[in-house]
Parts: sequence; C-alpha cells; structure tokens
Amino acid sequence: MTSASKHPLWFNFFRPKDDWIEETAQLCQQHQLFNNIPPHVIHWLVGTMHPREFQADEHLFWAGDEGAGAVLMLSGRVTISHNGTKLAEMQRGDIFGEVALVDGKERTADAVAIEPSSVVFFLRADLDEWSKSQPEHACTLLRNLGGMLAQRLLQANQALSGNHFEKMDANHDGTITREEFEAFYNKLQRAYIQAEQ
Amino acid sequence: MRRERRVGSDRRAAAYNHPVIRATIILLLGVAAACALLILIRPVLFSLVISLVLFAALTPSLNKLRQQGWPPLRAVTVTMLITTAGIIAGGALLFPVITDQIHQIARQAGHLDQRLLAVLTTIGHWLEGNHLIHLDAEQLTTTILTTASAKMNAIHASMQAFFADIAASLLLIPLITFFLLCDFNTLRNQAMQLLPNRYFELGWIIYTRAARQLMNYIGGIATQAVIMAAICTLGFWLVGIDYAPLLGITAGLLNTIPFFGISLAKIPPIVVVLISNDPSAVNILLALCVIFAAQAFDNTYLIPRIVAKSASLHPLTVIISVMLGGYYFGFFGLILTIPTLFSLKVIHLELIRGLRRQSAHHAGTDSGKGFPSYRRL
Repeated sequence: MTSASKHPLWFNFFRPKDDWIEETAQLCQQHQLFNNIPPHVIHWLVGTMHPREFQADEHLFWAGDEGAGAVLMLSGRVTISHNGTKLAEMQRGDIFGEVALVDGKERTADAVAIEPSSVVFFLRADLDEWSKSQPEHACTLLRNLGGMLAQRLLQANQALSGNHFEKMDANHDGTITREEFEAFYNKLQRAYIQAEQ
Repeated sequence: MRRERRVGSDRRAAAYNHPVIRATIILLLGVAAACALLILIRPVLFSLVISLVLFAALTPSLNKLRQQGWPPLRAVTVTMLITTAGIIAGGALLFPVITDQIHQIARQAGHLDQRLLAVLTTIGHWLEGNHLIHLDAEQLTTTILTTASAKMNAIHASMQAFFADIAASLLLIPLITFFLLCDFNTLRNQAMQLLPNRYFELGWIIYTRAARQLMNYIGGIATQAVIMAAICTLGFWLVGIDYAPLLGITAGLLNTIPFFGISLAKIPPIVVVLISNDPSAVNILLALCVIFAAQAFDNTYLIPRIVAKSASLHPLTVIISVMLGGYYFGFFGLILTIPTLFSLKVIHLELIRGLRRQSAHHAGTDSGKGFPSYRRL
C-alpha cells in the first residue's frame, strides 16, 4: 500500500516506527540483563529504545568515545576490536557496551559493522528516566547488570591468576614494553568479552 | 612553492577541524536554524514556552502516577484535569482580591505627587535644619515622577503584553501541554534519530547534560523566587507596610530578572509607602531595608548555593544579553534570556568536549597513539 500516510514526508511525527519493537522485546527477554523483568515491562521499555542502521565497515563507536548506553544486535554482525586486534564478534541477540549504562566512561574498544547491521541503543538517559517511573523494575535490571559485571570481573580475575604477569616480570625486571602490554591488554579484553558471552 | 601551498592548505584544514572551531560552527548553525524557526513560530512561541514550563513542572507528578501503574493516557488526563481545576480555583479565589488591591492602589496613586512632595519637603527641612544641603523638593518631585512614570509605563506596556499573551493562549496552552505530556519523549527521540550515526551517542550525551543543568538552573531560580517572595512578604508585614503579600510576590518575581530585577523590586514598595496613610521617610527607609536585607541574603546564601554553580556566566554577558532580550522580546525576554544563554553555553562546552575527545581518539587510532593509559587497568 502506498498511501500518503506511508510517505516519509507525511508520516505522523509523534508515532514511532514500531515494527522492530516486538522482535527486540523477544531478544531482550532471552538475555541475562532482563532476567526477572515482566515481558510487558520489557515491551514498554524497548519502546523507549533507539533503533539504528549501520552500513558495512561503519563504526558503531570508537575506543575512547564517551559511551551513552548499551547496544543490542538485531541483525548483521559487528566486530569488537582494539588497535586492529579482533577481540570478539557480535551477532543477533548479543548486547555489548553495557558498562556505559552505569557511567559515562570511555569505550575501551572499537565496534565496527562488518556487514549491514541493525542495532538498538539502550541509553543511560532512558534508564534514568525509567528508574524514576518504575524504580522496582529498574532496580532489577541494575541488579542483573551488577551480576553480569561481577561475573566478568571474576572471569578477568581468573585470567589474571594465570601466569601472564609472572612471565612478563621474569623477562624484564619488573618493567614491560609497550608491545607486551598491548598483547596482555588484548588478552584481557578477550577474557572480558568471552565472559560477557 | 607547491609544497608551501600544500602546507598552508593543510594548516587551514587542521584549523577547521579544531574541536573548538567545529563546535562553534555547529552551534552557530544550530542557533541560526533555531532563530529561523523562532521567526516562523513566533505567533505561538509564548504558548509553547509556557507549555514547556508547565510540562517540566507536571512531569514529576505524572511520573508518580505512572510509578503506581497508571496507563500513560489516564495519568496525563488526570494530571491535566487536576492542574486545570487548581488553576481555575486559584484564579477564582485570588482574582477578586488582587483586582481589589490593584484598584485600591490606583485610587491612592492619584495623590502620589502630593505625598512625595510632602515627604521630600520634610526631608529638605530636616537637612537644612541640620545645615547639610539645600534640597529643592518640588524640582526633585517632578524629576522622580517623570523618570518613574517613564519606567512604569514601559513596564506596564510589557506586563500588559505579557498578560494579553496569556489571555490569548488560554486555550492553546493546555492543549499543547497535554500533547507534550503524552508525546514529548517520542517527539524528542524522533528528532534525535535524525542525527548521523557518528554523532548519535554524542548528541544524546550533550542533550542529557544540557537538559539536566537547565532543569537545575530553572529549579534554582524558582526556589530563589519563592524564598525571596517569602522573605520580602514577611519583612514588609513586620515593618507594617500595606499589601505585604502582593509586594513580596512582585519582589520575588522581579528577582528572576538578573541584575535589573532587584532594582526594579525597590520601586513598588516605595510607591505603596508614598500612597499609604503614613508616607514618612522612615517607612520608605524600612521598605528599602527589607529589600536590601533580602538582597543580602540572596547574594550571600541563595545565589552561591542554589543558582551560581549552574549559571557561571560573565556579568557583562548577562547585562548585555538581558538588555537585548528585553529590547527584542519585552518582559518575556528579560526572564528567558539567561536560561537560553545558559543552555547555549552548556551545549557549546559539551560539543567542544565531545568533539575534542572524538578527534583525539580518532587521530590516536590512526597513528597508534590511542591506546588506553596503563593506569586504567
């Protein structure tokens, strides 16, 4: 149907395009971040999120940028890399960058679409507004987020409890070169990403 | 030669890419677009601004209802109905009282010149009796009345236009407020969707910070106005000046106008003392003392704690902007100039910060310098 109301020039500016909401809500329900949150609340919350389309090779964000929120993959693939080293690949249903929901710290890695991708941004600003209107559910989500971050910290500790530092220290009398540090940092990043998945 | 030209063009390109210059260009383009939009929507601008203020004031109540599980439309309808009923009831109760007081003041104001002359003659006799200076009471009365009359006429014209706008917008304001309460977030999100992918997150960060600081500033100003109104009302009542609540509220409202407001706030109590049954110099001094005491409290306690942190603008910028705002937009401009200026400042600073961070890290990524510092681990 090609009615005038469907034309982009004449659409109702107040009415959001909501064809992605149902699909996103279903993906959210399957994710750890939304555990114990009722489906109708998730559905409502998804309605406040922001769908974006990215072309192949387009950056979702750069390392060092201030993060505004988490990203949920709807379709396509996104690679997470640092300094040219690939750390992980994100696919449909994955959520990444969720640390930005807690504070406005810098992104620690680049996120680049490797094929045309649809993603949904869940912004800290939306979480703040939601926590004012539905504090109980927002508290549940923050608890889930805390659990995810704690789990990742545990994984990182396990990675650190290996012999990475010992090897480096043994070679260089307590000093490390930039290359060694970058290699170590990339390993740590991978551990974080794997823990997240 | 060719190499020098190339170096020159590279430098120019680098200068245009400087975050401060880019932020300023983006801000100026935004301001130009906003000005063009303001010219277009000027007939409904007043209604829009008042609706936005009402929207900001009603949002917390709306959130409370929604916290209790109310559906959005019902929560908005109930909030609007209660607010409208409250405004109508308040207006119905206060309107006769205020009208009566204004008529009473207008009747008494007919003798203002005689009262002022009497007060100045008394002061002149006292000064001459103590061999201080000679005071020409009649000339001084004429000068004061001419100056005050010109100022009051200007204020009266602005206030008349302000209230005429309110009267004309009585139907439009509730309607716009209703739709803002229902759809503001959707409209805002749709507008933010127009941002290019690269600036999407930065745009939201700037919007969030600017909105938060603006709300803090407006909240601070509103608190300041209420406290000043309460102090002045109490002070006028304690020293026995007529119409204490009316004068207090006027002083509180005028205090929202930076720099000029507190000077304007001194005029109404003096006029009221002069037209009262006891227009003595002592009463004028007492009225001024109340204003000065309130001003001292405002300067030492309220501004540093409530307002100053959120609006650290240079005094010269404020003075010139308020004068220009008043010149172009009247009373409305006097009140809204500083919040507008303040928003522009926040947006500009956040743009610079965001673009500087982006350009630093993008440059760093290209040259391999963007690796996080070791300390962050």
